[in-house]
Amino acid sequence: MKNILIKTKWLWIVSLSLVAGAYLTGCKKTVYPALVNGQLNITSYIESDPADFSLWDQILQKTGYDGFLQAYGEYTAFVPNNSAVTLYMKSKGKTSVDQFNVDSLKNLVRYHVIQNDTISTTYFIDGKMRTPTMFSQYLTSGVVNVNGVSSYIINGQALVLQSNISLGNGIMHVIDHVLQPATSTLAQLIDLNSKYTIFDQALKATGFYDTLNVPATSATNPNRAYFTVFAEPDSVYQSIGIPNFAALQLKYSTPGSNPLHNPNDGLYDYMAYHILAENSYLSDIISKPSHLSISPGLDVISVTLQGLTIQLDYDYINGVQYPGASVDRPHSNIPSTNGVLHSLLGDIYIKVFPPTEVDWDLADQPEFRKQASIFRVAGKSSVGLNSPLTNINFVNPASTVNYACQPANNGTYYWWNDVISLNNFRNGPSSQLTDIHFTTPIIIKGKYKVWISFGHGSETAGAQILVDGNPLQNVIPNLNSTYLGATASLINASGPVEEAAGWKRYTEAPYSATSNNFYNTVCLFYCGVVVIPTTDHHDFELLAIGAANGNATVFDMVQFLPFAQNQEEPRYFRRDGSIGQ
Amino acid sequence: MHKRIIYRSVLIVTLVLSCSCNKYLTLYPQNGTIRQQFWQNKEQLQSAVIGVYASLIQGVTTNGSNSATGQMAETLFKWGELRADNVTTPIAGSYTDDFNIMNGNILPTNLEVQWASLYRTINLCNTVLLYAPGVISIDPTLTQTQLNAYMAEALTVRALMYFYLVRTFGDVPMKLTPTSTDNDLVLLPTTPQATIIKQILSDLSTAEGNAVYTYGVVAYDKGRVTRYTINALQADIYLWTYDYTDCITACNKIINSGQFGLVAGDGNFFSTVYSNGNSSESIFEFQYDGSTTQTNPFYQMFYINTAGSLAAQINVQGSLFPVDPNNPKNVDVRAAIASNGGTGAISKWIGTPNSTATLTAATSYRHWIVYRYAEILLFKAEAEAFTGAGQDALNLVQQIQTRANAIIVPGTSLTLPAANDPVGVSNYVLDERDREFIYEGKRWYDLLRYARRNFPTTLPILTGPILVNASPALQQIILTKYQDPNSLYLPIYYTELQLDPNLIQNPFYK
Repeated sequence: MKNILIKTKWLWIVSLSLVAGAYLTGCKKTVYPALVNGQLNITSYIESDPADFSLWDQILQKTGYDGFLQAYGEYTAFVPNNSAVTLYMKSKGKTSVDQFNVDSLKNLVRYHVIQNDTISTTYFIDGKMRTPTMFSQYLTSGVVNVNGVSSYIINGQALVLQSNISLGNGIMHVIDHVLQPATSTLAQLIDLNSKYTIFDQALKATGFYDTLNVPATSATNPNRAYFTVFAEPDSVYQSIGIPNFAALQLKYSTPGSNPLHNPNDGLYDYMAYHILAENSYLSDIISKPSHLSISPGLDVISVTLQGLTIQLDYDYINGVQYPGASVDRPHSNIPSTNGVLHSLLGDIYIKVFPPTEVDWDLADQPEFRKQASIFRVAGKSSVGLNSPLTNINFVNPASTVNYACQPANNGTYYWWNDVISLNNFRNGPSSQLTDIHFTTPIIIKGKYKVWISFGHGSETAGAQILVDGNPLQNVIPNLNSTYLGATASLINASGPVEEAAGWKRYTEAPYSATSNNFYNTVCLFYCGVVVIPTTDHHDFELLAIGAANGNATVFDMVQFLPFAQNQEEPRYFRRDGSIGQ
Repeated sequence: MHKRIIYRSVLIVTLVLSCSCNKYLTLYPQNGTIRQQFWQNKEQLQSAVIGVYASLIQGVTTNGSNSATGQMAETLFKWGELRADNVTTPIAGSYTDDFNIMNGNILPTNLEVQWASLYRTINLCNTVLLYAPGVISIDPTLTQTQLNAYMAEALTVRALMYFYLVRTFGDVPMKLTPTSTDNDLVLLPTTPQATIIKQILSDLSTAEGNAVYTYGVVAYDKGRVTRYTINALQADIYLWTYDYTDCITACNKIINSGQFGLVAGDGNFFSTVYSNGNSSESIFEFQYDGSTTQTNPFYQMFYINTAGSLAAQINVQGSLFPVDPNNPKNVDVRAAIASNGGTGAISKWIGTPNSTATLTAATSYRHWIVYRYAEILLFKAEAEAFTGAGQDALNLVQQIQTRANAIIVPGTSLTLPAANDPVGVSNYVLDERDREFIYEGKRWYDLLRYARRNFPTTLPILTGPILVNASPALQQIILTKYQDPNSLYLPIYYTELQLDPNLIQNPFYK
C-alpha cells in the first residue's frame, strides 16, 4: 500500500507538472510577423503622410490610380506635396480636387509616373530620363542653384524636395510643383516665340511647319513621330547679313523656284538640314558624333563637345577647319508633344563637296598622338593598348594594338614612317584579336575605290574588309602574301598592269626582285568599290579569316580615292609625311 | 549513523571551501587581457600607443565592396583622388560607387563614404588618453615626460583623423572619450567643422610641447609622431583655415630644424622616396612593413590586369607632365613615377623604379606618405603667396621644380606669374602641388581648399579640372551642384544615421 501510494504520488507529481508545463507554455503566444515585407508601397506611403500628400492622395483616389501604385511592380513616382497641388489648383482656378475632370487628372498622374523602371537621382542627367512616363512623354532632369542651394529640377518646373525614397514597389521623389506636360507641337513652339520669325516663315514656306505640327500620338509614320529641331533665331540671321525671310530665300532658292515640298529647292534642303527625325535632348545629341538630318541628300550634322560648348558642324574637310555653330544651351532642351527644340548661336548649312580623296594614316590615333615622346619619333613604339580607343575598338578587348615608328632608313618606307600594329590578328582562338573597327575621318558622300596597305609578316591569317558593315569585293587572302613577289612578272610591271592585278605602289621603295624583301612588299591592296552614303565618319572594319599562325600584323594606311579619279595618283607617300607625284 | 556524520561534515567542509574564495559567477576571458589587468606599466602603455599606429594599416582591401572593414589608406586615397582630376576607371573593372563619385553622383548609400576605419583609430587614441595617466601611479619607472610624450602621440593621430574627417564631411560627430563598454555608447550629434578644428589645434599645441624630436631610430621617426609631424599637421590645418601667418611659423619650425632636405631627383629618387620609404624627406608615413604580412591595398586597387579598378587619367602624361618637344629624353623625374604612359597604371603605388615591371600582391607594401618635406615647402609657398612674399613663394616652387627637373613647355605649362599677384602665385603653387603629390591623396583637398577660399568666386579653380573626369551628359549638372557649398562634402553613410538619430545629414543630400 505504501509502495502504491509512493508510486501514485510520483505519478501525481509528474502529471501535475506536465499539465502545469503545458499550461504555462500555452500562455505564451509566439508572435509571428504578419508581413512578408514591412516596407510600404507608394500609395500607402502617400496615405501615411496626409500632412504632406493628402491632396495628391485625393487625386489618386479620384482617378482610381491608387490601386496600381499599391500593387507590386517597379515604378518611379514624382509626388507633388500639398502646397504644390494647391498652387496648381489655384493656377487652374479650382479650389478642390473634385472640380477637375477625371480624364485630365488621369493624364496628370500618368505624367508623374514612370513604369517598369526605378530611376534614382544617380541616373539623372542633363536631359531626358531614360524611360518615358506613362503619359509617353519624357521628363527631363537637371540641377539648379537657388540662393546657394543646389537641387535637382524636373522638367525645369519642379524642384526635388526629397529624393530616392525607396519603397516596396519603386522609388519616390517629392517635388514642389506639379509637372505639366508639354501641350504645344514643335511648330507651335517656334511660331509662338518671337525670336524665330525668319525661321518660322521658312518652315511655313517649305511645308515643314505642317510636318512639325503633328503631335507624336497622332503621327501615322512611327519613324517620323518625333523630331529634333535646331532653330536659328533672327539675331543669328541678322549677324550674317540676312535681315528677313526674303533674304534667306534669295540666298538658298533658285529664283522662281517654289520651296514648298520641293526636294530640289535649296531652301527646302536648308530647312530640312535643321531637323532630325529623333527625340534628342542635348545629352543625346552629344552622345553621338553625328546625326542624320531629314534632308533629301542624307546630310549629317556633326557634333563636337569643346569643354562645355556643343559645336555643330565643326568639321575638318579637305584641309580646312570649318568653325561650325554652337548650341545655345540655356535656350535648348525645350520639350514639345512631338520632340525637342534647340536654339543655335550660329548658322548651319549643307556643305556641298565633290567626292574627295582621303589618305588615312591608321597610326594617327589620338591616344598615340598624346604620347609625344614616341609619336613619329624614329625607332619608338608604344605599349599595347586595350580596346576601346577613341576611334578604335576590337573584339576581345584584352588583346592590344600599339604604335610603332620605324627606325630611320630601315627600308620599310611606310608613310610617315609609322604603322599601327595588331597583336595576333586572327580568327581564333577566342583570346585573339579577331575583329577590329576603326572610325574613319570624315568622308564626303560619293563613290570610292578603297586601298589598304599592310606590312608583310609571318602572320598567315587573311582579312575581310568592311565599310559600315558591308563587305568589300576583295579579300586579303593571306597577310603573309608577298604582294608583287608572288607574281614575279609584276615586280617590274607598269602601274596600270599592277593596278589591274589589284596592287599599286605608293612608297619610294625601289623595285626589288627579292620576293621577301620589304622593297616590294609595301604596296596598297585594292579592296573594292564603296558608295559612301553620307558625309560623315564611317566604320571601317577588318575581320580576320583563318586561325593559322599568329603574330603582330602591321597596317600603314587606307586610301579612299574617288571612283572616277586616276587611281595611281598621288604616287608617292613619303616617310617624312609629304605626298607627291 | 557514523557514516552520515562523516558524509555531512565532508559536504559542509567542501561547500565552505569551494564558496569562500572565488567569485565563481564573475568570469574572465581565458585567452585575453582585460582592461583591469592592463595599463599596469610603461611597457603596456607603449604597446597601446603602438597599437594606435598598427590600426592605421589594419584591415583588408575592399576595393569596391563594403569598406567598413577596409584599410585606411584605401579610404584616404579614394577620398583624396576620386572627385579630383587624376584618376579614371578603366572599362574592364570599374566599381559603380567609384564611378558615381567621379561623376558627382553621390548618395548616402555609397560604400566609399564610410568612415569606420578613421573612427576606429580615434577610439584607440581616446583609450590611450583616458587610461595612460593612471599608469604613472602604478609604475614608478614611468616619468611624467614619457607619459606626456605618449599622450602627445595619441593627441596628434586623433587630430590627423579629425582633420581628414572635417575636410571630407564638413561637420562630423566629435568623440573625445573611448567607447569600451555599452555604457559608453552615446548618440552624438554632429559638431560644426569650426569647433572640431579649434579642438584639434588646441590638442596639437598641447602635444607640441610634449612630443619628442626623435626616437633615435629612422623608422620610428617616420612612423611615429615627432614634434615635426605635429608642425606639419599644424601647417596643413592653418592653411585650411587660411591662417597664413601661423602656417608659415609652423613650416619654419620644420625648415629651420635642419633635420630634413629634398632627396636628389636622380635615378634613385623613386626607390629612395617611394619604394624604400622613410627617406630623409619624409615626415610621417604609414609603415607597411615588408617583414609582416600586412600589405597595402594598392596592388589590388591599381593592378588593372586582375581586379584593379583605378588608372591614371590620360591627361596626366602629356598635359600635366608635358613632353620636351626638343628632347624627349629630357623628362620630369616625377612623370614616370606618376603613371605608366601606355597602360595608365599608377606607378607610384605598383610600379618599380626604372622598369616597366609591376609589384606583386605579396610585395605591395610601399608606405602611404602623409607628409614629406617637399610639402612643407609648398605649404609655405602657398601661405607666402597671400602674405606679400610672392617672390619667396616662387623661389620655393622653383626649388621643387629644379629638384624634379620639371619640363616647362610654353603653351602647355602655366606661365610664371608676377610675384605681386597673389592669385597667380597661389595657382602656380597649386599646379606644382598637382605634379609633386600626384596620387598621394591630396588633390581633392587642395582643390577644395582653393575653392573655399573665396566661395563662389574661387569655385572655377575646382570645377575646371574636375570636368575632365565627368561624363559629358553630366557636366551641367555637376557645375550647378558644386555651386552649393554643401555638395563639396560627402554625405554621412546611411547606416550611421539609422544608428544615431542625433546625427544630421548634410542638407545637400536631401
